[in-house]
Amino acid sequence: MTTLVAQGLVRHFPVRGKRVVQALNGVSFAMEGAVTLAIVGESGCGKSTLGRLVSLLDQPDAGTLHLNGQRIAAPGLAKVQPQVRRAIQTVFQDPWTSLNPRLTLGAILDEPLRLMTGGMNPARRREAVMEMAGHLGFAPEQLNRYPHMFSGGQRQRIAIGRALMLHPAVLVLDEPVSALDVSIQAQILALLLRLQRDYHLLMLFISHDLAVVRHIANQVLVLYLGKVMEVGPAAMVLDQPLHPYTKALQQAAPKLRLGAEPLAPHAPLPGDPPSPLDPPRGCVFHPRCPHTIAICRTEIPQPRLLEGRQVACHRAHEWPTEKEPGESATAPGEPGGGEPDRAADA
Amino acid sequence: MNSTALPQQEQPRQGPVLDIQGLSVAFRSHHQTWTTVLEHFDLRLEQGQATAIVGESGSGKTVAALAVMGLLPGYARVEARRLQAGNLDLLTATPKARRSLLGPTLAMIFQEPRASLNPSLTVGYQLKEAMPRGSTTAAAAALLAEVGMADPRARLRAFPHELSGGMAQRVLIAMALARKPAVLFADEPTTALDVTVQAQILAQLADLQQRQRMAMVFISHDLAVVSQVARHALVLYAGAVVEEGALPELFKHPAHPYTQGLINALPGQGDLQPISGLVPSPGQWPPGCRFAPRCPRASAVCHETLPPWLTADNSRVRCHHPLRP
Ligand SMILES: Nc1ncnc2c1ncn2[C@@H]1O[C@H](COP(=O)(O)OP(=O)(O)OP(=O)(O)O)[C@@H](O)[C@H]1O
Ligand SMILES: Nc1ncnc2c1ncn2[C@@H]1O[C@H](COP(=O)(O)OP(=O)(O)OP(=O)(O)O)[C@@H](O)[C@H]1O
Ligand SMILES: [Mg+2]
Ligand SMILES: [Mg+2]
Repeated sequence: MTTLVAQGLVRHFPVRGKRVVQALNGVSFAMEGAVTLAIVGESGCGKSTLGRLVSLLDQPDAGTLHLNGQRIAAPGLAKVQPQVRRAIQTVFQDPWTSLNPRLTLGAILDEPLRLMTGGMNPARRREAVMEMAGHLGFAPEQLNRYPHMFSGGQRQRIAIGRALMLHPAVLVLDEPVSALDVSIQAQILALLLRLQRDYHLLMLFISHDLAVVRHIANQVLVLYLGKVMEVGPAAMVLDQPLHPYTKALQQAAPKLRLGAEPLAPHAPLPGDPPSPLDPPRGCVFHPRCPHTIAICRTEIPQPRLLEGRQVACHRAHEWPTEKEPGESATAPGEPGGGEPDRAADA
Repeated sequence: MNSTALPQQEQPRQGPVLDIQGLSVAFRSHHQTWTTVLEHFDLRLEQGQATAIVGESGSGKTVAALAVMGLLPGYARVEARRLQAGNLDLLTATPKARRSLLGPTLAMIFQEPRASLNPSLTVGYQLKEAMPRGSTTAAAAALLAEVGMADPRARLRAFPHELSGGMAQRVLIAMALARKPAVLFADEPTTALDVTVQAQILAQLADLQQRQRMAMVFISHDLAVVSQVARHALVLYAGAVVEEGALPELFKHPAHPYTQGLINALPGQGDLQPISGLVPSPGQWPPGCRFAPRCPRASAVCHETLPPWLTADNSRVRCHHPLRP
């Protein structure tokens, strides 16, 4: 079973005038098995930066990443072995720019096999390409088509298929459905769930859409200005949030209005997130938080285990969630913690 | 500044502020052939009414708004049985007369707030350009305050790159509202924004629209967002309206299988049910009902003839086999 453990990941980008963008400031999580961890938060909070570290496309300034017990990322760590790199694959948001326009669908799926596996003969490669095309829902005659002949959703399917050709253990998806229409988004989510089961994938799913996250993720990590506000089983973090920021995100997410309630309610949070160039002292969320008290302005809240999730808030214990009797809390990272909100997928 | 739900009663006024009947738009391609992208489009708005246009990418939402605004490129062909804004017949009006509508009668806000502002001019300069001639700085600041901008005086001196996405969108809303338009087209005004900022802008827009009794056409692909700002919606599929009606009833009990399909495809209600297949491109629309090739209820007639409108008191649907009478 695949395990992926991040400990205290830090990434700071130096910018003009000797200033530093604190994109990621001590992020930890632990995952085991064919589970999905969703990374949520507003624009600029560090989601893609974290995704790039896990994808080994970038190196942390502090902290470590372990895959199946092996250290794969740390400051100054020498180049990782090809088989480690192969074990972690990435799918990006934009299906229009991520595919080589000069290659056919068949060649795109074949490319990773051709470039990375020494010794696989062309017949086996063709077989593997056909099999993946079938998994993705393409007919054999479509293998000769070029990316511009496919729709956005089809291209995103191709990008996912390409990432899976080498049977990775970990799949990092950065906003994979954000550019797609709902009817197509639902097709891709269903495909991901099926492939996760078939390939035993551990997935890191970056998204700003809480409804999508609730559907696909077992675990959720809420980022704000590069720091973890709350992390744990999706059902707890999203349905019974303890951190005021998670609550605000949940309230702000537009809901389908099906009753007589009034139009657009008052926004739960004022203003925008502050700049990561100059994050607030104490709790980074305190300038926007409706519950700020003196300690929040001066002391950084340490993450603590509360009601089955880690939460970094001085006051989280003051608002206990209504828990159903007999419900058992599972710590983040423990296998089986939290079920996505869906029936067994089709 | 929360929404004070004003009753949506009719005020004495002669006729609708916007009356569109049978609007169609085609684009000329390189071989001098015309490709129709929008057809049979009807929309009638009274003062103070808010309606929404929902539909997936490419369904023709933006084109419909641009056709009314008169902002389509020269190679576009716009036809309609009726196209009237305020008291002006847009089909016969001179270009000059049409331009004079922009601001006081028709205004529009676009999806990409930053791309719609000139990066080399201050917010104050651009805002005053949009306001009636001779408007004071104090009036400009008051207008920014009206759309919920914090510290409006200081913001007037800022350049667009110094604004967050949410602040830039507030500036654009202020510019659109500067001449108190009778009709505001809001084209995906929050799609590029974070959810917490989106919630601020939606609350603000719904509030302003109701307080100023402005008619609003809110364009979005997001059913949840639409349900939060409008009490009526049109559902567009492949260049044609398939269903329209009052909200929330339309989303609660849709009659068209496509509307139902959109709702079933929304995550957050148990099992996801994707709509199979793809939206056909303009130029490749099937004969008959355009949704037929993807529709679970389609029969032979759906593939052959365009369904007629079935009209109930507050809604209508274009379907041979609607989900409800
Ligand atoms: N190479 C870089 N150099 C300087 N700053 C950077 C770099 N990459 C990211 N940043 C900054 O780090 C912060 C986090 O960026 P990141 O792309 O991780 O955000 P995100 O959560 O993915 O946002 P979005 O939702 O907009 O994609 C931002 O302030 C960003 O401007
Ligand atoms: N200037 C143009 N020239 C040629 N075709 C155009 C032009 N503008 C739009 N189209 C086509 O018209 C159709 C409708 O486009 P429109 O922009 O109205 O879609 P939309 O519903 O607003 O989609 P989205 O949700 O992606 O904004 C599309 O097929 C589009 O490619
Ligand atoms: Mg990102
Ligand atoms: Mg559009």
